[in-house]
Amino acid sequence: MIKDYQTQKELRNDYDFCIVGAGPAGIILALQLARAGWSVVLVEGGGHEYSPRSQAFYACTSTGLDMYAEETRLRFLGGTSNHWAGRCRPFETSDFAVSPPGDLPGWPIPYAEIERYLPAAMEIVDLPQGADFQAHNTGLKGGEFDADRFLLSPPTRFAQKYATALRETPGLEVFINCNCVDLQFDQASGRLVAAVVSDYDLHRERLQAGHFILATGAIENARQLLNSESLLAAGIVKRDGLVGGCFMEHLNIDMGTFILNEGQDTEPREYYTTDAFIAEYRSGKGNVATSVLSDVRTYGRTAEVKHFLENLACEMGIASKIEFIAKFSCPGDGVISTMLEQFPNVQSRISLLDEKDQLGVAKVNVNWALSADDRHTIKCIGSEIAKQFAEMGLGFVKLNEYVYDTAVPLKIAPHAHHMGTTRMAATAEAGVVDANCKVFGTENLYVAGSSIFAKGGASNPTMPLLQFALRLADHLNNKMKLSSNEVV
Amino acid sequence: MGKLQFCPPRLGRRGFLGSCVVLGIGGPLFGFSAEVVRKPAEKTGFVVINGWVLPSEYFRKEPA
Repeated sequence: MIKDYQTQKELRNDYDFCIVGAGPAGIILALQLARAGWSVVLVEGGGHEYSPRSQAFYACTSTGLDMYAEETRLRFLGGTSNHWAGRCRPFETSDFAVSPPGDLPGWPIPYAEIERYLPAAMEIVDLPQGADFQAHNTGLKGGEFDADRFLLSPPTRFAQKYATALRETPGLEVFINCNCVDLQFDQASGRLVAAVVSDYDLHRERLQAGHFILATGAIENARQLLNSESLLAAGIVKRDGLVGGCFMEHLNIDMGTFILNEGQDTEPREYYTTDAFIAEYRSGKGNVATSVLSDVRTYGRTAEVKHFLENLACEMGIASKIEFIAKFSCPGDGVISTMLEQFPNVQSRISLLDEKDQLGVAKVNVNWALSADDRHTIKCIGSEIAKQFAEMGLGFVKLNEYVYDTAVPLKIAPHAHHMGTTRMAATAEAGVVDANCKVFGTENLYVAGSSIFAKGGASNPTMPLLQFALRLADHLNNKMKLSSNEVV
Repeated sequence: MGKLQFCPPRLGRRGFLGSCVVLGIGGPLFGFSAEVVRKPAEKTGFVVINGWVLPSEYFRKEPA
Protein backbone atom coordinates (compact mmCIF):
# COMPACT_ATOMS: atom_id res chain seq x y z
CA MET A 1 0.00 0.00 0.00
CA ILE A 2 1.06 3.59 -0.58
CA LYS A 3 0.30 6.04 2.22
CA ASP A 4 0.79 9.79 2.42
CA TYR A 5 2.79 10.48 5.55
CA GLN A 6 1.58 14.07 5.54
CA THR A 7 -1.86 12.82 6.58
CA GLN A 8 -1.36 9.18 7.54
CA LYS A 9 0.98 8.72 10.52
CA GLU A 10 0.79 4.95 10.44
CA LEU A 11 4.38 3.81 10.62
CA ARG A 12 5.02 0.65 12.61
CA ASN A 13 8.20 -0.07 14.54
CA ASP A 14 8.92 -3.67 13.64
CA TYR A 15 9.96 -3.65 10.01
CA ASP A 16 12.68 -5.99 8.86
CA PHE A 17 13.88 -3.40 6.38
CA CYS A 18 13.60 0.35 6.07
CA ILE A 19 14.55 1.65 2.63
CA VAL A 20 15.04 5.39 2.23
CA GLY A 21 14.40 6.66 -1.29
CA ALA A 22 11.95 5.35 -3.90
CA GLY A 23 13.99 5.63 -7.08
CA PRO A 24 14.98 2.62 -9.22
CA ALA A 25 17.27 1.04 -6.60
CA GLY A 26 14.90 1.61 -3.68
CA ILE A 27 11.83 0.35 -5.50
CA ILE A 28 13.51 -2.82 -6.77
CA LEU A 29 15.05 -3.59 -3.39
CA ALA A 30 11.71 -3.05 -1.62
CA LEU A 31 9.85 -5.34 -3.99
CA GLN A 32 12.50 -8.06 -3.95
CA LEU A 33 12.68 -8.15 -0.14
CA ALA A 34 8.92 -7.97 0.36
CA ARG A 35 8.37 -10.75 -2.19
CA ALA A 36 10.89 -12.83 -0.24
CA GLY A 37 8.56 -12.57 2.75
CA TRP A 38 10.09 -9.79 4.81
CA SER A 39 8.32 -6.74 6.16
CA VAL A 40 9.55 -3.66 4.35
CA VAL A 41 8.89 0.04 4.61
CA LEU A 42 9.91 2.29 1.72
CA VAL A 43 9.98 6.00 2.57
CA GLU A 44 10.06 8.68 -0.11
CA GLY A 45 10.49 12.37 0.58
CA GLY A 46 8.50 13.49 -2.43
CA GLY A 47 4.95 12.76 -3.47
CA HIS A 48 3.34 11.01 -6.42
CA GLU A 49 4.24 13.86 -8.77
CA TYR A 50 6.84 16.57 -9.17
CA SER A 51 6.39 19.46 -6.75
CA PRO A 52 8.56 22.55 -6.24
CA ARG A 53 8.18 22.09 -2.47
CA SER A 54 9.92 18.73 -2.53
CA GLN A 55 12.34 19.52 -5.33
CA ALA A 56 13.68 22.55 -3.47
CA PHE A 57 15.34 20.21 -0.98
CA TYR A 58 17.75 19.18 -3.75
CA ALA A 59 19.26 22.66 -4.00
CA CYS A 60 23.03 22.62 -3.48
CA THR A 61 25.82 25.12 -3.70
CA SER A 62 28.67 24.39 -6.07
CA THR A 63 32.34 25.30 -5.84
CA GLY A 64 33.54 23.15 -8.70
CA LEU A 65 32.45 22.42 -12.23
CA ASP A 66 28.76 23.05 -12.64
CA MET A 67 26.84 19.80 -12.49
CA TYR A 68 23.30 21.18 -12.04
CA ALA A 69 22.58 19.30 -8.82
CA GLU A 70 18.99 20.43 -8.54
CA GLU A 71 17.93 20.11 -12.16
CA THR A 72 19.46 16.72 -12.92
CA ARG A 73 17.65 14.90 -10.12
CA LEU A 74 13.96 14.41 -9.38
CA ARG A 75 12.60 14.15 -5.84
CA PHE A 76 9.35 12.19 -6.07
CA LEU A 77 8.13 8.61 -6.41
CA GLY A 78 10.24 6.92 -9.09
CA GLY A 79 13.10 9.34 -8.49
CA THR A 80 15.31 10.43 -11.32
CA SER A 81 13.99 7.61 -13.51
CA ASN A 82 11.13 10.04 -14.16
CA HIS A 83 13.34 11.80 -16.70
CA TRP A 84 15.75 9.00 -17.53
CA ALA A 85 16.69 8.83 -21.22
CA GLY A 86 16.96 5.03 -21.20
CA ARG A 87 20.41 4.27 -22.62
CA CYS A 88 21.73 0.95 -21.35
CA ARG A 89 25.28 -0.32 -21.67
CA PRO A 90 26.51 -2.95 -19.21
CA PHE A 91 29.76 -2.85 -17.33
CA GLU A 92 32.37 -5.30 -18.58
CA THR A 93 35.12 -7.41 -17.05
CA SER A 94 37.82 -4.78 -17.47
CA ASP A 95 35.80 -2.22 -15.49
CA PHE A 96 36.34 -4.43 -12.46
CA ALA A 97 39.77 -5.85 -13.28
CA VAL A 98 41.69 -2.63 -13.95
CA SER A 99 42.55 -0.32 -11.04
CA PRO A 100 42.32 3.44 -11.46
CA PRO A 101 45.52 5.51 -11.38
CA GLY A 102 46.42 6.98 -8.01
CA ASP A 103 46.13 5.61 -4.49
CA LEU A 104 42.54 4.41 -4.51
CA PRO A 105 41.77 0.84 -5.52
CA GLY A 106 39.17 -0.24 -8.05
CA TRP A 107 36.34 -2.65 -7.40
CA PRO A 108 36.91 -5.24 -4.66
CA ILE A 109 34.75 -7.77 -6.51
CA PRO A 110 34.96 -9.30 -10.00
CA TYR A 111 32.46 -8.42 -12.69
CA ALA A 112 31.00 -11.94 -12.45
CA GLU A 113 29.43 -10.85 -9.14
CA ILE A 114 26.95 -8.63 -10.96
CA GLU A 115 27.02 -10.15 -14.43
CA ARG A 116 24.65 -12.86 -13.33
CA TYR A 117 22.04 -10.19 -12.53
CA LEU A 118 22.17 -8.69 -16.01
CA PRO A 119 19.19 -10.63 -17.46
CA ALA A 120 17.00 -9.62 -14.50
CA ALA A 121 18.11 -5.99 -14.72
CA MET A 122 17.38 -6.01 -18.46
CA GLU A 123 13.88 -7.26 -17.74
CA ILE A 124 13.35 -4.49 -15.19
CA VAL A 125 14.23 -1.80 -17.73
CA ASP A 126 12.10 -3.51 -20.39
CA LEU A 127 14.87 -4.64 -22.70
CA PRO A 128 14.16 -7.75 -24.81
CA GLN A 129 15.32 -10.88 -23.05
CA GLY A 130 18.45 -12.30 -24.57
CA ALA A 131 18.96 -9.28 -26.78
CA ASP A 132 22.53 -8.41 -27.65
CA PHE A 133 23.80 -4.96 -26.93
CA GLN A 134 23.96 -3.70 -30.47
CA ALA A 135 26.45 -1.71 -32.46
CA HIS A 136 24.71 0.88 -34.58
CA ASN A 137 27.68 1.61 -36.84
CA THR A 138 30.96 0.02 -37.82
CA GLY A 139 34.00 0.41 -35.59
CA LEU A 140 37.32 1.96 -36.45
CA LYS A 141 40.00 -0.41 -37.66
CA GLY A 142 42.96 0.83 -35.67
CA GLY A 143 42.20 -1.30 -32.60
CA GLU A 144 41.54 1.69 -30.37
CA PHE A 145 37.81 2.15 -30.87
CA ASP A 146 35.05 -0.37 -31.37
CA ALA A 147 31.55 0.61 -32.30
CA ASP A 148 29.71 1.30 -29.05
CA ARG A 149 27.09 -1.27 -28.13
CA PHE A 150 23.96 -0.32 -26.28
CA LEU A 151 20.23 -0.82 -26.05
CA LEU A 152 17.54 1.73 -25.37
CA SER A 153 14.98 1.21 -22.65
CA PRO A 154 11.51 2.62 -23.59
CA PRO A 155 12.56 4.22 -21.02
CA THR A 156 11.12 2.55 -17.95
CA ARG A 157 9.35 4.87 -15.52
CA PHE A 158 9.62 3.00 -12.26
CA ALA A 159 6.72 4.61 -10.39
CA GLN A 160 4.32 3.84 -13.24
CA LYS A 161 5.62 0.38 -14.08
CA TYR A 162 5.58 -0.76 -10.47
CA ALA A 163 2.53 1.22 -9.29
CA THR A 164 0.41 -1.86 -8.75
CA ALA A 165 3.25 -3.80 -7.17
CA LEU A 166 4.00 -0.95 -4.77
CA ARG A 167 0.34 -0.82 -3.76
CA GLU A 168 -0.38 -4.50 -3.52
CA THR A 169 2.74 -6.48 -2.64
CA PRO A 170 2.15 -8.11 0.77
CA GLY A 171 4.59 -7.02 3.42
CA LEU A 172 5.46 -3.73 1.70
CA GLU A 173 4.38 -0.34 3.00
CA VAL A 174 5.28 2.78 1.02
CA PHE A 175 5.10 6.23 2.58
CA ILE A 176 5.36 9.31 0.39
CA ASN A 177 6.06 12.82 1.73
CA CYS A 178 8.12 11.06 4.38
CA ASN A 179 11.52 12.73 4.66
CA CYS A 180 14.49 11.12 6.37
CA VAL A 181 16.09 13.84 8.51
CA ASP A 182 18.46 11.90 10.76
CA LEU A 183 20.08 8.50 11.23
CA GLN A 184 20.47 7.39 14.83
CA PHE A 185 23.39 5.07 15.46
CA ASP A 186 24.06 3.16 18.67
CA GLN A 187 27.79 2.81 19.11
CA ALA A 188 27.52 0.05 21.73
CA SER A 189 25.66 -2.34 19.47
CA GLY A 190 27.10 -1.06 16.21
CA ARG A 191 23.60 -0.79 14.85
CA LEU A 192 21.55 1.95 13.32
CA VAL A 193 18.55 1.98 15.64
CA ALA A 194 16.28 4.46 13.89
CA ALA A 195 15.79 6.74 10.95
CA VAL A 196 14.10 9.93 12.01
CA VAL A 197 11.46 10.93 9.48
CA SER A 198 9.49 14.13 9.10
CA ASP A 199 6.51 15.39 7.17
CA TYR A 200 6.52 18.89 5.69
CA ASP A 201 5.01 20.36 8.88
CA LEU A 202 8.05 19.22 10.90
CA HIS A 203 6.21 16.39 12.61
CA ARG A 204 9.05 14.01 13.44
CA GLU A 205 9.04 10.33 14.30
CA ARG A 206 11.60 7.62 14.93
CA LEU A 207 11.31 4.81 12.40
CA GLN A 208 12.77 1.55 13.67
CA ALA A 209 13.76 -1.46 11.61
CA GLY A 210 16.17 -4.36 11.60
CA HIS A 211 18.10 -3.09 8.61
CA PHE A 212 18.34 0.26 6.88
CA ILE A 213 19.20 0.90 3.25
CA LEU A 214 19.94 4.34 1.85
CA ALA A 215 18.87 4.60 -1.79
CA THR A 216 18.57 8.33 -2.35
CA GLY A 217 21.20 8.93 -5.03
CA ALA A 218 24.88 9.74 -4.77
CA ILE A 219 24.53 13.24 -3.37
CA GLU A 220 21.79 12.49 -0.84
CA ASN A 221 23.25 9.17 0.33
CA ALA A 222 26.43 10.98 1.31
CA ARG A 223 24.41 13.86 2.76
CA GLN A 224 22.39 11.53 5.01
CA LEU A 225 25.55 9.93 6.36
CA LEU A 226 27.37 13.23 6.87
CA ASN A 227 24.30 14.78 8.51
CA SER A 228 24.11 12.12 11.24
CA GLU A 229 25.71 13.40 14.43
CA SER A 230 25.66 9.92 15.97
CA LEU A 231 27.53 8.39 13.01
CA LEU A 232 30.06 11.21 13.24
CA ALA A 233 30.45 10.79 17.00
CA ALA A 234 31.05 7.06 16.56
CA GLY A 235 33.72 7.70 13.95
CA ILE A 236 31.78 5.79 11.29
CA VAL A 237 31.70 8.95 9.21
CA LYS A 238 34.35 11.65 9.02
CA ARG A 239 33.55 15.05 7.60
CA ASP A 240 36.61 15.08 5.32
CA GLY A 241 36.81 11.35 4.78
CA LEU A 242 35.61 9.15 1.97
CA VAL A 243 31.91 9.71 2.64
CA GLY A 244 31.06 12.31 0.02
CA GLY A 245 34.49 12.00 -1.57
CA CYS A 246 35.19 10.64 -5.03
CA PHE A 247 32.11 12.21 -6.56
CA MET A 248 32.20 11.12 -10.19
CA GLU A 249 30.28 12.11 -13.29
CA HIS A 250 30.62 11.11 -16.90
CA LEU A 251 32.43 13.77 -18.85
CA ASN A 252 30.42 15.40 -21.60
CA ILE A 253 33.09 17.14 -23.63
CA ASP A 254 32.64 19.11 -26.82
CA MET A 255 35.73 17.66 -28.46
CA GLY A 256 35.51 19.74 -31.60
CA THR A 257 34.25 19.57 -35.15
CA PHE A 258 35.02 17.52 -38.21
CA ILE A 259 35.00 17.77 -41.95
CA LEU A 260 33.54 14.71 -43.62
CA ASN A 261 35.20 13.39 -46.74
CA GLU A 262 33.08 13.28 -49.83
CA GLY A 263 30.91 10.21 -50.10
CA GLN A 264 31.04 9.31 -46.41
CA ASP A 265 27.91 8.21 -44.62
CA THR A 266 26.31 11.07 -42.69
CA GLU A 267 24.62 8.85 -40.09
CA PRO A 268 25.55 9.42 -36.42
CA ARG A 269 28.30 7.14 -35.14
CA GLU A 270 29.22 6.04 -31.63
CA TYR A 271 32.59 4.57 -30.76
CA TYR A 272 33.94 3.09 -27.53
CA THR A 273 37.49 2.68 -26.33
CA THR A 274 38.86 -0.85 -26.47
CA ASP A 275 40.61 -2.54 -23.56
CA ALA A 276 43.83 -2.33 -25.60
CA PHE A 277 43.48 1.45 -25.74
CA ILE A 278 42.99 1.68 -21.97
CA ALA A 279 45.97 -0.56 -21.32
CA GLU A 280 48.25 1.40 -23.63
CA TYR A 281 47.34 4.91 -22.53
CA ARG A 282 46.36 4.20 -18.90
CA SER A 283 43.37 6.38 -19.56
CA GLY A 284 39.73 6.14 -18.64
CA LYS A 285 37.17 4.59 -20.93
CA GLY A 286 34.96 6.57 -23.18
CA ASN A 287 32.16 6.81 -25.64
CA VAL A 288 32.75 9.18 -28.54
CA ALA A 289 29.78 10.21 -30.67
CA THR A 290 30.00 11.96 -34.00
CA SER A 291 26.98 13.61 -35.50
CA VAL A 292 26.64 15.53 -38.71
CA LEU A 293 25.04 18.94 -38.49
CA SER A 294 21.85 19.72 -40.36
CA ASP A 295 23.60 19.42 -43.70
CA VAL A 296 27.02 18.80 -45.12
CA ARG A 297 28.04 22.18 -46.40
CA THR A 298 29.34 22.54 -49.91
CA TYR A 299 29.57 26.29 -49.88
CA GLY A 300 31.19 29.20 -48.08
CA ARG A 301 34.09 28.91 -45.66
CA THR A 302 33.56 25.20 -45.07
CA ALA A 303 33.88 24.51 -48.77
CA GLU A 304 37.14 26.43 -48.87
CA VAL A 305 38.54 24.41 -45.97
CA LYS A 306 37.34 21.18 -47.55
CA HIS A 307 38.99 22.00 -50.80
CA PHE A 308 42.23 22.70 -49.02
CA LEU A 309 42.12 19.45 -47.02
CA GLU A 310 41.36 17.43 -50.13
CA ASN A 311 44.49 18.86 -51.68
CA LEU A 312 46.83 18.52 -48.72
CA ALA A 313 49.19 16.37 -50.75
CA CYS A 314 49.76 19.12 -53.27
CA GLU A 315 53.18 20.63 -53.50
CA MET A 316 52.19 24.07 -52.31
CA GLY A 317 55.00 24.33 -49.76
CA ILE A 318 54.88 23.71 -46.05
CA ALA A 319 54.91 27.35 -45.07
CA SER A 320 51.90 28.15 -47.20
CA LYS A 321 49.98 25.19 -45.87
CA ILE A 322 50.68 26.15 -42.29
CA GLU A 323 49.82 29.75 -42.86
CA PHE A 324 46.47 28.74 -44.28
CA ILE A 325 45.65 26.17 -41.62
CA ALA A 326 46.71 28.41 -38.75
CA LYS A 327 44.07 30.88 -39.85
CA PHE A 328 41.26 28.75 -41.07
CA SER A 329 38.16 28.04 -39.14
CA CYS A 330 34.72 26.87 -40.15
CA PRO A 331 31.65 25.31 -38.54
CA GLY A 332 32.57 21.93 -39.99
CA ASP A 333 30.17 19.22 -41.07
CA GLY A 334 29.60 17.81 -37.62
CA VAL A 335 30.47 17.77 -33.96
CA ILE A 336 32.14 15.26 -31.64
CA SER A 337 30.76 14.70 -28.17
CA THR A 338 31.66 12.24 -25.45
CA MET A 339 30.70 10.29 -22.37
CA LEU A 340 34.04 9.66 -20.69
CA GLU A 341 35.06 7.95 -17.48
CA GLN A 342 36.10 10.10 -14.54
CA PHE A 343 38.52 8.49 -12.14
CA PRO A 344 37.86 8.63 -8.39
CA ASN A 345 39.60 11.44 -6.54
CA VAL A 346 38.81 12.66 -3.03
CA GLN A 347 38.92 16.33 -3.99
CA SER A 348 35.79 15.86 -6.05
CA ARG A 349 33.32 15.74 -3.19
CA ILE A 350 30.10 16.46 -1.36
CA SER A 351 30.65 18.53 1.81
CA LEU A 352 28.24 19.44 4.57
CA LEU A 353 27.42 23.11 5.13
CA ASP A 354 26.46 24.78 8.39
CA GLU A 355 23.20 26.01 6.89
CA LYS A 356 20.21 23.70 7.27
CA ASP A 357 17.12 23.24 5.13
CA GLN A 358 13.58 23.75 6.39
CA LEU A 359 13.45 20.19 7.71
CA GLY A 360 16.63 20.67 9.73
CA VAL A 361 18.96 18.67 7.49
CA ALA A 362 22.33 20.26 6.75
CA LYS A 363 22.71 21.46 3.19
CA VAL A 364 25.62 20.36 1.04
CA ASN A 365 28.11 21.81 -1.36
CA VAL A 366 29.20 19.90 -4.45
CA ASN A 367 32.75 20.35 -5.61
CA TRP A 368 32.88 18.46 -8.87
CA ALA A 369 36.55 18.47 -9.79
CA LEU A 370 38.66 16.65 -12.35
CA SER A 371 42.19 15.39 -11.83
CA ALA A 372 45.20 15.42 -14.14
CA ASP A 373 44.37 11.80 -14.91
CA ASP A 374 40.98 12.88 -16.23
CA ARG A 375 42.56 15.54 -18.45
CA HIS A 376 44.85 12.79 -19.70
CA THR A 377 41.80 10.69 -20.61
CA ILE A 378 40.24 13.59 -22.52
CA LYS A 379 43.46 14.32 -24.38
CA CYS A 380 44.17 10.70 -25.30
CA ILE A 381 40.68 9.94 -26.50
CA GLY A 382 40.32 13.22 -28.39
CA SER A 383 43.68 12.90 -30.09
CA GLU A 384 43.22 9.27 -31.01
CA ILE A 385 39.73 9.63 -32.41
CA ALA A 386 40.99 12.50 -34.56
CA LYS A 387 43.86 10.41 -35.89
CA GLN A 388 41.59 7.46 -36.52
CA PHE A 389 39.21 9.68 -38.42
CA ALA A 390 41.98 10.70 -40.78
CA GLU A 391 43.49 7.21 -41.07
CA MET A 392 40.13 5.70 -41.95
CA GLY A 393 39.58 8.33 -44.61
CA LEU A 394 36.44 9.57 -42.90
CA GLY A 395 37.64 13.15 -42.86
CA PHE A 396 39.58 15.54 -40.63
CA VAL A 397 38.98 16.69 -37.08
CA LYS A 398 39.53 20.09 -35.50
CA LEU A 399 39.96 19.59 -31.76
CA ASN A 400 39.12 22.31 -29.31
CA GLU A 401 42.26 23.65 -27.70
CA TYR A 402 41.37 22.46 -24.19
CA VAL A 403 41.35 18.87 -25.47
CA TYR A 404 45.05 18.75 -26.33
CA ASP A 405 46.36 21.58 -24.13
CA THR A 406 45.65 20.65 -20.51
CA ALA A 407 46.65 24.13 -19.37
CA VAL A 408 43.56 25.59 -21.06
CA PRO A 409 40.42 25.59 -18.88
CA LEU A 410 38.06 22.82 -19.87
CA LYS A 411 34.56 23.36 -21.17
CA ILE A 412 32.52 20.49 -19.85
CA ALA A 413 28.94 19.49 -19.21
CA PRO A 414 27.59 16.71 -16.99
CA HIS A 415 25.60 13.63 -17.97
CA ALA A 416 23.60 13.54 -14.71
CA HIS A 417 25.34 10.30 -13.71
CA HIS A 418 26.25 10.84 -10.06
CA MET A 419 28.54 8.17 -8.64
CA GLY A 420 31.17 7.24 -6.09
CA THR A 421 30.32 9.15 -2.89
CA THR A 422 29.97 5.99 -0.78
CA ARG A 423 32.40 3.90 -2.75
CA MET A 424 32.76 0.14 -2.35
CA ALA A 425 36.12 -1.18 -1.16
CA ALA A 426 37.70 -4.10 0.63
CA THR A 427 38.68 -1.97 3.62
CA ALA A 428 37.41 1.13 5.42
CA GLU A 429 40.62 2.93 4.49
CA ALA A 430 39.66 2.82 0.82
CA GLY A 431 35.89 3.02 0.86
CA VAL A 432 32.61 3.56 2.67
CA VAL A 433 30.79 0.28 2.04
CA ASP A 434 32.11 -3.26 1.92
CA ALA A 435 31.64 -5.78 -0.88
CA ASN A 436 28.08 -6.39 0.36
CA CYS A 437 27.21 -2.67 0.34
CA LYS A 438 27.25 -2.47 4.16
CA VAL A 439 28.67 0.70 5.68
CA PHE A 440 31.99 -0.12 7.35
CA GLY A 441 31.70 -0.11 11.15
CA THR A 442 27.98 -0.80 11.21
CA GLU A 443 26.00 -4.04 11.47
CA ASN A 444 22.84 -3.09 9.63
CA LEU A 445 23.28 0.03 7.49
CA TYR A 446 23.49 -0.47 3.73
CA VAL A 447 23.73 1.72 0.67
CA ALA A 448 22.24 1.14 -2.79
CA GLY A 449 22.59 3.02 -6.05
CA SER A 450 25.52 4.36 -8.01
CA SER A 451 27.04 6.06 -4.96
CA ILE A 452 28.68 2.69 -4.24
CA PHE A 453 30.55 2.67 -7.57
CA ALA A 454 34.29 2.34 -7.01
CA LYS A 455 34.83 3.25 -10.66
CA GLY A 456 32.39 4.86 -13.02
CA GLY A 457 33.49 3.29 -16.29
CA ALA A 458 31.72 4.78 -19.28
CA SER A 459 28.51 2.81 -19.02
CA ASN A 460 25.22 4.49 -18.23
CA PRO A 461 24.73 3.71 -14.54
CA THR A 462 21.01 2.89 -14.23
CA MET A 463 21.11 -0.72 -15.40
CA PRO A 464 24.33 -1.57 -13.50
CA LEU A 465 22.99 -0.05 -10.29
CA LEU A 466 19.95 -2.30 -10.66
CA GLN A 467 22.27 -5.30 -10.95
CA PHE A 468 23.85 -4.23 -7.67
CA ALA A 469 20.43 -3.72 -6.08
CA LEU A 470 19.37 -7.23 -7.06
CA ARG A 471 22.61 -8.60 -5.66
CA LEU A 472 22.08 -6.70 -2.41
CA ALA A 473 18.53 -8.02 -2.13
CA ASP A 474 19.85 -11.58 -2.47
CA HIS A 475 22.51 -10.91 0.15
CA LEU A 476 20.04 -9.47 2.64
CA ASN A 477 17.53 -12.22 2.02
CA ASN A 478 20.20 -14.85 2.67
CA LYS A 479 21.38 -12.99 5.75
CA MET A 480 17.86 -12.88 7.13
CA LYS A 481 17.23 -16.56 6.39
CA LEU A 482 20.49 -17.49 8.09
CA SER A 483 19.59 -15.35 11.06
CA SER A 484 16.13 -16.94 11.26
CA ASN A 485 17.63 -20.43 11.21
CA GLU A 486 20.01 -19.51 14.01
CA VAL A 487 17.12 -18.29 16.14
CA VAL A 488 15.22 -21.54 15.55
CA MET B 1 48.34 4.48 -33.44
CA GLY B 2 50.16 7.23 -35.21
CA LYS B 3 52.45 9.73 -33.61
CA LEU B 4 51.03 13.12 -32.80
CA GLN B 5 52.83 16.44 -32.60
CA PHE B 6 50.98 19.38 -31.12
CA CYS B 7 51.64 22.66 -32.89
CA PRO B 8 49.33 25.36 -31.60
CA PRO B 9 49.48 28.63 -33.54
CA ARG B 10 51.26 30.40 -30.71
CA LEU B 11 54.39 28.36 -31.35
CA GLY B 12 54.90 30.41 -34.50
CA ARG B 13 56.01 29.17 -37.84
CA ARG B 14 59.64 28.82 -36.91
CA GLY B 15 58.79 26.64 -33.93
CA PHE B 16 56.45 24.58 -35.98
CA LEU B 17 58.97 23.92 -38.72
CA GLY B 18 61.43 22.83 -36.09
CA SER B 19 58.85 20.48 -34.70
CA CYS B 20 58.31 19.04 -38.14
CA VAL B 21 61.94 18.04 -38.28
CA VAL B 22 61.60 16.25 -34.97
CA LEU B 23 58.43 14.66 -36.16
CA GLY B 24 60.06 13.47 -39.33
CA ILE B 25 62.50 11.33 -37.42
CA GLY B 26 59.90 9.90 -35.11
CA GLY B 27 60.44 12.16 -32.13
CA PRO B 28 58.55 11.97 -28.87
CA LEU B 29 54.95 12.94 -28.62
CA PHE B 30 54.23 16.17 -26.80
CA GLY B 31 52.48 15.43 -23.52
CA PHE B 32 52.86 11.66 -23.76
CA SER B 33 55.73 9.56 -22.57
CA ALA B 34 57.99 8.22 -25.28
CA GLU B 35 57.33 4.74 -24.03
CA VAL B 36 53.65 5.07 -24.67
CA VAL B 37 54.02 5.98 -28.32
CA ARG B 38 56.80 3.59 -29.28
CA LYS B 39 55.18 1.17 -31.68
CA PRO B 40 57.50 -0.44 -34.20
CA ALA B 41 54.90 -1.03 -36.86
CA GLU B 42 53.56 2.48 -37.01
CA LYS B 43 54.49 4.76 -39.83
CA THR B 44 51.95 7.52 -39.85
CA GLY B 45 52.43 10.60 -37.74
CA PHE B 46 50.13 13.51 -37.18
CA VAL B 47 50.48 17.16 -36.42
CA VAL B 48 48.03 19.44 -34.70
CA ILE B 49 47.85 22.91 -36.19
CA ASN B 50 45.22 25.28 -34.90
CA GLY B 51 43.41 22.21 -33.57
CA TRP B 52 43.33 20.41 -36.92
CA VAL B 53 44.78 16.92 -36.66
CA LEU B 54 46.48 16.24 -39.97
CA PRO B 55 48.89 13.62 -41.33
CA SER B 56 52.45 14.83 -40.83
CA GLU B 57 53.58 13.48 -44.18
CA TYR B 58 52.14 16.59 -45.82
CA PHE B 59 54.27 18.82 -43.61
CA ARG B 60 57.71 17.29 -43.84
CA LYS B 61 60.50 19.37 -45.30
CA GLU B 62 61.21 18.48 -48.87
CA PRO B 63 64.62 16.83 -49.33
CA ALA B 64 67.35 19.26 -50.31
